Amino acid sequence: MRLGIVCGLTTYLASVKVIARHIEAAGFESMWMPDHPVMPVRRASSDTGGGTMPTYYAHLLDPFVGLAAAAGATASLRLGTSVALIAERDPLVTAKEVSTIDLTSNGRFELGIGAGWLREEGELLGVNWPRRWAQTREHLLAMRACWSHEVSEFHGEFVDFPPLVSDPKPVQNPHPPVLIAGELQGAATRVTEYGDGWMPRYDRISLAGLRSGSDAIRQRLAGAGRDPGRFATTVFRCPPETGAVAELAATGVERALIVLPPVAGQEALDTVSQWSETLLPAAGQGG
Amino acid sequence: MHIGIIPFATSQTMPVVELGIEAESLGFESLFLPEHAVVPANFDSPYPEGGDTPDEYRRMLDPYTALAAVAGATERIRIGTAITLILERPPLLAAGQLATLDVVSDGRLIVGAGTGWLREEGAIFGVDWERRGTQMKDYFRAIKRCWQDPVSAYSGTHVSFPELVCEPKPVQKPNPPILIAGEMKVAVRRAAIYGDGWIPRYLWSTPESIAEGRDRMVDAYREFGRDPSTIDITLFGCRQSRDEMRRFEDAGVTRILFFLKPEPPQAMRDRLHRLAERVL
Repeated sequence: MRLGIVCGLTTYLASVKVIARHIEAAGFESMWMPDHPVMPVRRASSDTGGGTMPTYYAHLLDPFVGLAAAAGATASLRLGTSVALIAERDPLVTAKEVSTIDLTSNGRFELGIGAGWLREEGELLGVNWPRRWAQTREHLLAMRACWSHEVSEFHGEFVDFPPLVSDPKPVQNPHPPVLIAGELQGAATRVTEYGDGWMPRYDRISLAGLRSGSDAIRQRLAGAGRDPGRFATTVFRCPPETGAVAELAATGVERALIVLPPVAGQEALDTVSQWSETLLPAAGQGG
Repeated sequence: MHIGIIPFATSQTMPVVELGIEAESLGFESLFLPEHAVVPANFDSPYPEGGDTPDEYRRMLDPYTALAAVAGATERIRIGTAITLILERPPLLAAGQLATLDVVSDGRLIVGAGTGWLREEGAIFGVDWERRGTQMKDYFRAIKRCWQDPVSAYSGTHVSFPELVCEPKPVQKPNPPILIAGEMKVAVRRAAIYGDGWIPRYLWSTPESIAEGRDRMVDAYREFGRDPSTIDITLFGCRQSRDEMRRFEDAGVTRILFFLKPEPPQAMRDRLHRLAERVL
């Protein structure tokens, strides 16, 4: 099982370059960044995980620019969003950002997407909240049109553009893996139509549910004429404990992501070093 | 005077990260990138330099992420947009993305901005073309609120948002330099109101027009109680001649950007080295 680290990077955590190089040198497969472009002061929505929202959620660096900087600073580390709220972003601009990161990283980008949980943030950035997954789907399909054709056009309910050229194209063929966040029922349908991977949250699903869910999606992909061999499950927010990592590895999921706590500078680097000694062996990777 | 490059990097040219590393080691002060998020398959807007629009305009990298990659691979060279079509990104996203770019580069960002010339491209992004100058002023005022206030709110003609936290803040205080591109009389006025400098196009400039623009800018800076000694005038293109460069420097230019046309990696690398010999 591959192991990646989620960095909710802020200006006070650590420099992107330093942390990315350290994660790569420590032997982790990937680095991921979450996405909250702005944080409204007045909000009623709560983190779907329950409890109080950590303050650093309001201070996050932009994941596309941040991961691009990490691409320039590293050579083999894979780089992903966990997750990008693509309905809050212009699909044409985002399509070119993704292509550019994939190009400058020589094909190391992974696009994790979700519809978000913070209604006030989404609405501020043009999301039709009750229909946010429908909008997310259209944004992705529009981006895929840009990635796939020399001249693309799109006419949908949320996105509409005339024939145009968007280039460069992504390096990965046909485009970077698109990982869909969320629970099985919605995610299975979405992955089958427009995804390459599933990104469920560790605290929302049992080990048995992970195994059966991954199998169910593979069957649906095969039924839809897509190659189930390309599908991968990435478990988000795996606890940084050897037992949890080893159990996940035993279920056969392809990747687990552990979240770096919001600690500063050297402490963050030391945490990554410790995890490489304990968690990489538990995941079945070299320590 | 600073000397920078503006390479037309695409997926077929010398990679932009290598251009950044090489330009830094050769001693160039800055690397700027242009922007066209998309180019419509059909359009009537005339290409500003005359003739057909070159194919590379359809194949430009996204400058925000490409400059971030350059920043990740370099230590000193300044990074900039020349120019970003600022009206094509929602200002709340542009504020966070530009600030992140300043953070990941440790304060090396220069924001060259304009409204562009391709009306049909602007239409795809909902640009209010007839009032695009007013819209750009509104966008930068909103972006500056995001950059300067712990809790920002803004109410304008083209942009409004309630109280929100927009982070990160840029490293450079109060903001990374904002250079406004465009025709002299309009651009220098805009620069004095909400910018920090001007990007004139070499093709349309003479040392006299630069000097006049600078005088107008100094007057406008004084009118608004600003210090004119910080005025940045970045010339977009120039003939590779030390005499020509000196004439523009004497007229008030503070930085010259030399184009690098899109070429395969080795040809572009050779051209970069020849440029360094001629102009540095």
